[in-house]
Amino acid sequence: MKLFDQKPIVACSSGVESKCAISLLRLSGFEDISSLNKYFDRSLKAIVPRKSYLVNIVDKGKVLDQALLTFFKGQKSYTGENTAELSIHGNPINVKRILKLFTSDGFFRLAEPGEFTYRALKNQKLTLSQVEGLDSLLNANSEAVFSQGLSILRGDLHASYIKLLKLYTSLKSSIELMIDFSEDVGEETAYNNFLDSFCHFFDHLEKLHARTRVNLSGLLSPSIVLIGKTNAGKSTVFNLMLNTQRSIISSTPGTTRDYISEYIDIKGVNYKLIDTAGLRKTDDNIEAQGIDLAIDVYKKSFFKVLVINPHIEFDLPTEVSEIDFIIFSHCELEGSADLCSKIILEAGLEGTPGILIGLKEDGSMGPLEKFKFFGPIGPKKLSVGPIGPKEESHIREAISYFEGSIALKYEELMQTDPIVVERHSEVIRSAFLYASEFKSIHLNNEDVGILSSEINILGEKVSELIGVVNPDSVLNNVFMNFCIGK
Amino acid sequence: MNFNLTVVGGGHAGLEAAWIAAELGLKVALITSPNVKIGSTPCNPAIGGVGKGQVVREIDAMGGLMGLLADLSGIQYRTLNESKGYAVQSTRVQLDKDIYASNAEKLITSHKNITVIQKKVDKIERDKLGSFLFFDELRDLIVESDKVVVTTGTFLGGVLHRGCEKKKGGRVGCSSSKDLRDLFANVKTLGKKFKTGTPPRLDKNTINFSKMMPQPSDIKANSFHCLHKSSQRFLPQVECYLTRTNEETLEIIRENKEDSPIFNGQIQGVGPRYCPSIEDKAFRYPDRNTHHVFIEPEGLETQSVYPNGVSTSLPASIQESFIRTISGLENVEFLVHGYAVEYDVVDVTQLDETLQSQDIEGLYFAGQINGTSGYEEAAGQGLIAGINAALSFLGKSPLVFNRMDSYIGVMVGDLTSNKRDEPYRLFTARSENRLFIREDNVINRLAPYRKALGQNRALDKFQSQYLEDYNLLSELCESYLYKKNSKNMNYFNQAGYGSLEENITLAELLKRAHLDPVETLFKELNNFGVQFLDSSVRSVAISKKYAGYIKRASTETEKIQKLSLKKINWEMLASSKNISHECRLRISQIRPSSFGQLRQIEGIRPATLAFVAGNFI
Repeated sequence: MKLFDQKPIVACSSGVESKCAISLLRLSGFEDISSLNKYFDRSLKAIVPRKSYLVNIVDKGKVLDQALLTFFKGQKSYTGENTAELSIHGNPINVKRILKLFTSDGFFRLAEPGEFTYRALKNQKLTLSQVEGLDSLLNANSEAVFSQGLSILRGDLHASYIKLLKLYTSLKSSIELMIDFSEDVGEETAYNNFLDSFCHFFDHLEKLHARTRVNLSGLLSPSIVLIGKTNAGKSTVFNLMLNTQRSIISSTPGTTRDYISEYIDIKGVNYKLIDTAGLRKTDDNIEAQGIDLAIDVYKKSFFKVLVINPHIEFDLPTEVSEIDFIIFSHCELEGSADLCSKIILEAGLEGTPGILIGLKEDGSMGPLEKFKFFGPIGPKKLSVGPIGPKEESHIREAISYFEGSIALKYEELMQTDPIVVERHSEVIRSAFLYASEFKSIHLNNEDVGILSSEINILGEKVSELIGVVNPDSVLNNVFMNFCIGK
Repeated sequence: MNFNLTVVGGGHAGLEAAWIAAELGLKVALITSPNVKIGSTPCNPAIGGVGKGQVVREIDAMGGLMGLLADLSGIQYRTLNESKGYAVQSTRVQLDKDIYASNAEKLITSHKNITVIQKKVDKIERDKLGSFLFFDELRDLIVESDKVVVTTGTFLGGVLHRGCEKKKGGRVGCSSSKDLRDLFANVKTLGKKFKTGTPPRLDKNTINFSKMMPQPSDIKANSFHCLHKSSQRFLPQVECYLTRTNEETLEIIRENKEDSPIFNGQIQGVGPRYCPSIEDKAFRYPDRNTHHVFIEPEGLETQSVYPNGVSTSLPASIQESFIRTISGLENVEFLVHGYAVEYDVVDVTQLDETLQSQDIEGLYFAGQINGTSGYEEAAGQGLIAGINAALSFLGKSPLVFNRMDSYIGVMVGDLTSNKRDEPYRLFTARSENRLFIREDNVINRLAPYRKALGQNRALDKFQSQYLEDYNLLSELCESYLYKKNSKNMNYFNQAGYGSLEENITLAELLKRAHLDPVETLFKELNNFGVQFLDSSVRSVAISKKYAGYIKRASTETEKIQKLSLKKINWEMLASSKNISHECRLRISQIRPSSFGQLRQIEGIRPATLAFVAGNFI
């Protein structure tokens, strides 16, 4: 693991590049607050921890800025070391020159990414799980992930792991009971106790495992992908979604052969809406690359939308297997309803929710009477549309149903209280796999020595979860991929 | 009188320490209290048991006495956990106590390097040259020696309890020794006493055995001493009997709670949870109204029997009334009443892995004084202390047993790495390598340690012959191939070996889950018409069976094992500002030398381990 030195560190905690009214500098690891006197126009010797003081930051007699200084004494600070926080004016030029003041004489050095938290961990101000929770907290893209970050930080998830460790301990004890004490308690009692303990342990592990069965990357920055053949109407849907959106966050430019994405907000969650290149067989090398990219994006996406023009020949690419939602475009045309039914049946997509949209210029509704045949599209609300673009209320209704489906999937996922820390998920998956294998192969083994040896291996996996085991690589991983304090 | 080594105490620890040191050529003085027999077994009349059987064989493989003495006095053998697989099987033997003690005395007194002195040591001092001086109560010098192994069992500061009776003593009918601190200044005790107890002894002639279930001796069980034949017996074999306590028994005990020294506060010492008195059982498990009582003879001639399971310190009259409620014991007469004893123990965390005091060079402790219980545990420590006192005297490097290949290693490692809150008993659970630390492969495991002693006796010759045999057979198992042909397929079928889908080796056959590897190997060797030592056949067969599991366990836990072996500097940790106060306190008390030891310490937080692993390793 890369070891940081013990030198005092400084960083701007609110970001250096962005313009803001106030920026927060943190200084940590100095021996004595008085050693900072040289940077200020007053002596800091008598200042009281946790109280704010208005000070001038000076460089060779010249005042650089007026700032609010708060001192946190070692042990009771975030890092566990002596720490000072300085609220300075937020202009990047100002921030940069003050950082330079603290570092140019070599007294401080700029903190490495994550180093404040590293020091907090090192000084036992945070547990490893808490650090991982902090990562979720700071890098969360949605409220749910954010709140799990908070929950880890508070130790809730940790408590669930501790429970697993406890159940494991009873399982282990039940084996020892069989080996060392069966004369005392009786063979049968001892054996039943073992079976019970294994069931309790396995149940809890299974529950934890259920919480890991989530496409994590999809959840941390969820995206909605539109796929379909060329001219299926993906771009129309894309624009329709954006037109009804009020909170566009940013825009990513792209070409039609690449993909275009926009951020949209649905019920408090930021999604990346992606319009992909049309799927079709092609000899054009560049276009083929675009299609590969589309398939790739499709696979990683949280919500997968298939856009179909019922009036052109339909075939599903083999890579496309899982669909969350279907949008039929061009449904203003005669006979759309029948074609849609046919496609759904042939593609085996019954039960997938979806909508129909129509694009008739004059705003007429088209062959509405046919829609009663669209039963197979969705389990609850079957279909909306076709919708003329001028009929604002119908567009709203359709989009709202579409968005409802997206939000539903997200909520269902969050209700399973997914474990968002990748390392935890991996360890749980590996423990569960091992426990399942044990259950099917060894649970009925008469050789208790073998039972016990296999259970021990399981134990190593359980303790890995708590962060006791092999902390070397774990710590390394956390601090190398982890950016706070800057 | 000048000796190289003085052993104080002639119990199981003292015997082994004195014997092995004498074998290594040291002049040894064994000082024991007058009136206390050498090698007595003051509690249950049995040696061995789960885990303990392995220890007896380990001692035996090192040239110790316990296995030999147990065989010579064995009157009933059993293989425990026989149905649970070879790895967890252990041997236990019931003893004739008198024969055990008289053989022990004979052996010890006949060794040319051992002088037995029956005196009570009152004070141990050290002169300027570093020699230990032993004084009696009259301040007369008894002996003087370079090294000392203290094995005083329950005698230091011993207090006996029976009802409200309370008197000084290490054992019934024996006076106690002084407090440890009076005996030897500067030795730290744990600061609290431990407690142990023993049941009453009953008169065999007044027991109605027809109401109890007999438990015969197992004629196949392997004897302990490796130079004995595998099921050789030296004495007639007898039966033990099983009976039970009932509601009436427990009611009497529950009614007399105030008279129980354990529950009325008279006894402060901590007793072992794994060996509860009948009072403990009655009060701690109110839902249970019956418990096993094993009736074990204490010898062939003696009238005394030991009712295993009813250890008690209740007043004599109450003992009589509750014992007489037990089926078959209605008219039983008491020879000795049960009692409890509290005794001083040393703080073993101040000992190093050779059981030498870290503060006083040349001073070793072994046995119950170290807070352990059990004859086997005591003997194992005696062996380690004796060997290392001798090696140190001879200017050789110490011999430390690895916890991955012996229960003695597990025990010494556990003792010296952790403060104990209750008497320590060896359980197989304490080992990380249980599939490997078995009875059958004891010579494979211990021969390298024995070799380090540089002896050339019958034992050493036997061990090298065994290993030769073992290696040859092991190679044969790996190389012998059953080709897939109709003859072999038929044979497999008819022998119940299962199908033969491809060519397999004999070793692979032995691994098949539904086969007993030992039976199978014997059968195949018989077919081949080749002869090997029974003990090597057994051990090879079992080793092949477990090899895959052991390898799997070791690769799966490799990361941890690697980390555990890493050395740490406890002084650096103890002065680190980044470790919590309590953790630092535990670290400086226990002085762990490796990450594995640190991990074993109770109360060390995960965060501390993570920190140490990340920064100090």
